[in-house]
Amino acid sequence: MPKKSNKTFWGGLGRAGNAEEKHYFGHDDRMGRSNDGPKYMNNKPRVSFKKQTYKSGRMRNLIKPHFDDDVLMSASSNNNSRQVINRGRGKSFIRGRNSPLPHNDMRDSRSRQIPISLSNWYKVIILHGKNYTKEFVLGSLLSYTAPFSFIPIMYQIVGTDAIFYVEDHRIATKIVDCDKRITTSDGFKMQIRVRPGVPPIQISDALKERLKQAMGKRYVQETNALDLSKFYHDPELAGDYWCPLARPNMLMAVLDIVQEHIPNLEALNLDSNKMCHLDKLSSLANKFEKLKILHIGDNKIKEINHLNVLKNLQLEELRLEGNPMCNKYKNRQDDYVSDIRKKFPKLLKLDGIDLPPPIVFDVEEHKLKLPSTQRMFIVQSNAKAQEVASQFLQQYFLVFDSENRQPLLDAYHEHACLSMTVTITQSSSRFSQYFIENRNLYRIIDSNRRRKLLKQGRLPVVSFISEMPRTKHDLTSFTMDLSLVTDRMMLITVTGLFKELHSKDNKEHLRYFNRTFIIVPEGVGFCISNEQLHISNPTMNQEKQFSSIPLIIQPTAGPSTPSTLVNSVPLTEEVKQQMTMTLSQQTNMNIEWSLKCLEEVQWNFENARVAFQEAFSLGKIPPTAFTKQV
Amino acid sequence: MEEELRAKIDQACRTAEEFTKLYYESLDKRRYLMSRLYMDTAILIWNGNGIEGKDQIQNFWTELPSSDHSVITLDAQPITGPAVANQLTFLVKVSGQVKYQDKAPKTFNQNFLITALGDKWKIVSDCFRTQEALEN
Repeated sequence: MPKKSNKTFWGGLGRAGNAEEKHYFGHDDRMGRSNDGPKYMNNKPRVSFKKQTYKSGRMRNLIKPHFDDDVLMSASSNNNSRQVINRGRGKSFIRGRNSPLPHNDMRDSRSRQIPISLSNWYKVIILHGKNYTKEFVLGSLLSYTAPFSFIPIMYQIVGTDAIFYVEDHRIATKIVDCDKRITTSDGFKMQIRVRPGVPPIQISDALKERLKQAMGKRYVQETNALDLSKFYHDPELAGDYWCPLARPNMLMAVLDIVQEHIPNLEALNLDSNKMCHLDKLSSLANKFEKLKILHIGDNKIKEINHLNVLKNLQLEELRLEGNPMCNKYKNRQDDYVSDIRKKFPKLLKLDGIDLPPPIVFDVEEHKLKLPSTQRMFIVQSNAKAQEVASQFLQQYFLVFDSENRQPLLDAYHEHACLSMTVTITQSSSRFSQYFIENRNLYRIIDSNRRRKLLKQGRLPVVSFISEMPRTKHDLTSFTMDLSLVTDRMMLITVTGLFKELHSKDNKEHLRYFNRTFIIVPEGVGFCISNEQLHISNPTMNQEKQFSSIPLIIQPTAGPSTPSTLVNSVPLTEEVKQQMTMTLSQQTNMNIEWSLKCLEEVQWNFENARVAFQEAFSLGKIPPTAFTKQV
Repeated sequence: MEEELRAKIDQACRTAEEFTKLYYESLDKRRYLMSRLYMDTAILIWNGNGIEGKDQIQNFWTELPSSDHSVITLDAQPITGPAVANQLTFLVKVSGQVKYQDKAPKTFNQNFLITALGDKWKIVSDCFRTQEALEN
């Protein structure tokens, strides 16, 4: 549609400055046409079937023969059709010359006028349509409306009626004209009502499954290419769902599925989808690192700047023709190429035409290189330190992932310190339990709270750790950096993925962690004197990678590993004393009873607390347990 | 003793706030000054690539594509006891987002061991990791 006439039209409506409104319904710039027609009837006709700009071969096979409107539509895209519409808008409607139907009298036609829909979508209701087969209803309508054809979207039975949706006012008018003209098998005349109405979009699991199937047929494995052109007319889907890629939620659902199944996608065709806003395509660069070819022609992109969201893609081939923005470059092909190339410096082909290879500065390219990631760094290649650190961590995570984290008491120094931060992103309510312990100094300003959130001393540290959800760490995802080794300490940073197991609802959550430990020698082994823990959600790629490899259960820790460090060393008297004190503080029981309680549960602090709570709630603890000697 | 530890915790937090502000401003805008923040024998580990010595670290930063960091969380604690021979030393942990030139932002974690050398804070160890899926 030429830009110029557009302007005239909107100007005519006296809504200057409301240009946004055109986008508002997002789907088609043929909408928004006048709530009160007659005044504008002298304008150029706004409705014309678009020239068939995409190659018919691409779609032809996908559309069932009797739905093959495109060919018919393009064949009838002539002056006649324009006249038809023009009159159709008028107060008195006269059927077009190319109508196969006999002309009716004027009164009859007037009664069938349907209000113009801003979105250009119409809901067709076949009264008592439940009684007829879909094939019969659509077959009859298609033969009556010939040579016009239409694609019925979401044909369904609601109550006793059959309803479906069609696009374009002219088609809607053609269909309503069939009211009481088709005789049904039971001898009645089929009653048809048409009113403005946009098909609803509801992204359900069932729809996702169907999208997957439909896209499977549009994917070419050899070239790693996916053709989503004119997707909303896909014969696999159109009958039951309306799937316009111009709608952000639909586009996101579709792209998510593609990412899940074809992360290495190299070519994507989004031609003829009536897209005008490309914002949601900004995720393409993240989703598909290898995407080199993008066709996005015959859409409704109005400004070249709208392409900025695609800038992060390293495109080599791009198709844009057929978008309103291209009209601005009429007769200025050189400017067009250079402006597009500014955004996509690596482009070799634009609108099917090969471009001369670009001349670029070597420097930029060179500088862009980031060093590649290594899994492990050991300072001064200190093999002995590496062994100590690896063993220590292996034992640590073995216990951490077990049902009982209590033995970690021996992994922490008497004066150990531990603090935690978390990065919270949307939709992660599960983080709330961490949130109260989040010692983010940007948020926690009060010195007292800052001190309080720093766990100090072996017992508070292990007690905190024991209350964290059960975990299963994926050792294959780990990285380890050993940055400092002295006689007195080692500084270790570990990152990786773990699964958080919730026994309550049997749900699992994948998390990413980054932990820094300072370990110091103690006795024959080592223990942690300082630890900082950070937890966040995994990236999409991490999640994908995690789900693609089966989680090996404790792959490195064989049956023989239980360590000297953690398990076999019995608790020292000092530790026992500390535990007794802490239990006494927490439960208010006196030392004697606290000791008794801990002994009964073999010095498992967590169990002692649970045992206390149970007994207490049952009233089994005698008052003497709470009397303290002065 | 308790009192002393409390003071150290408070100081660690304050120093960390000041330090990270200076560090990321320098890294994003005044890279040529980076080496001043490090001890002569400092170590930087950048995504598993180790760089030792202040001058080498300066070279590394100079070569790296320009960056834009935004810091989201910060945490700090003092290190006490014989491990650091009672020299005032803090452990600092940061997480946030980093963008290199026009590339898409990535989440990163970074931790520092900083120590007081005379009247200046210096980095002993600087360990940086972006959050990413690693190939097996």
